[in-house]
Amino acid sequence: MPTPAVTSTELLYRQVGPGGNPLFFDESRASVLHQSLFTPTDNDSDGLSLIRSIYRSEVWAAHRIENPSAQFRLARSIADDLIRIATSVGFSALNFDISPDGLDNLHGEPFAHCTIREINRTDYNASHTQKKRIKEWAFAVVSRLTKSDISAHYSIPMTSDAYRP
Amino acid sequence: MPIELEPRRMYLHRAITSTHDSSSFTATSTNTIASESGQEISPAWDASIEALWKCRDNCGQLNESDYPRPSKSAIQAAIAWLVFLKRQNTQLIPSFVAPSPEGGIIVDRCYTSPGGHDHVSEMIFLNDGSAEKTEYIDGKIKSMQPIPMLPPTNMHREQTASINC
Repeated sequence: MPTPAVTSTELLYRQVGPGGNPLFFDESRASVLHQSLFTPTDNDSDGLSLIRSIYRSEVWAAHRIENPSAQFRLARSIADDLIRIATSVGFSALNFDISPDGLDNLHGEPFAHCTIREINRTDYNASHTQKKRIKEWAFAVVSRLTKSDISAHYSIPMTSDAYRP
Repeated sequence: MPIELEPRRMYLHRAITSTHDSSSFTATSTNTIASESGQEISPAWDASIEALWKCRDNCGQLNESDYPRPSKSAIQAAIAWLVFLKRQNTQLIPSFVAPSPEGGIIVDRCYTSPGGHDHVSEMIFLNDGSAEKTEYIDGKIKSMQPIPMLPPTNMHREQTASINC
C-alpha cells in the first residue's frame, strides 16, 4: 500500500537520544527537553526526522537499526500543533515528506519515517532569518512539552514485538 | 493566528533520564550563597562548572552517545565563560548544560524578570572552534550572534560586558 500523506491529527514521535542528557540542569527553571533536540543538524539536510505513530509501534519507534545499542526516548507531538507553532513564528506552512529509514526499508510501505521539509539544515545555514525562525520554532515546540509527552525506558525490540500498532 | 505559549514548565530531566544521567548535577534556584562581597550567588554557577570539569575529565563516559563527543576545547571554553560570567554575577543563572547534537557544549542561563518575562541566554561552543549566543525573551529571539570562544580578559572585561549580560 502506498504511504498516505501525514494528516493534521496524527501523533508523531521525535527520537531523543542519550547524547542529549544534561550534564547539569536546574529542575525549577527550564523545559522538559532542550530546543537543540528539535533543531536540524547536518544529518537533517532534507528536514527534521519524525516517526508516524500509526505505522510504527513505540518500542520500534524508539529503535534505530543504525545505532541499535542506543536507548532513545520518544517526544510526542500532534502534527497540527507543530504546524500552528510554525505559523506563529513566520512559516507559511509545514510539509511532512515521506522518506523511508532503515526500518521502513525492511518492513516496506506504509513508511513510518517522515521529515519536516521546512525544518532543514540547509535553510538553517543559509540565512540569519531562516535560522532564527527555525530556532524559535524549536524553542516553542519544547516549551509546550510536558513530562507526559515523553516516554522512555524502551528495551531493544524483539522480533516478537509488533512492528505496527 | 499566533498561538500563546504556555508558561515554561517544571524541569523534569531527572525523572525522564533517570537511567542515563546518574552523573548529572542538579541545583535549585532558590538556594543561594553569599559571596565575599556579600552578594548572593546561586550554587548553580559552581554546580554547572563542576559538571563541565567532570565531563572534561571523563570524556570516555560519552562513548556510547549518539552525539559527537564534545571536544576538550569546547568544554574548556564553556568553563571559561561560566567562570567569567559568575564573576559578573549576572541575573542570568545557569539552568542547563549538555552536549550539543552538533558536537560541542550548550550552556543555557535563564531569568524571569519582575515583569514576568522569561529571558533565556543560550551559548553554544562547537568542536569546530566557533561559538554563538542566542538571547530569547518569552520565546522570541532578540539577538543571535557569534561570540569569541573564550571570554574577554580582565583588561577588557568592562568594555565588553555588554555582550555578556
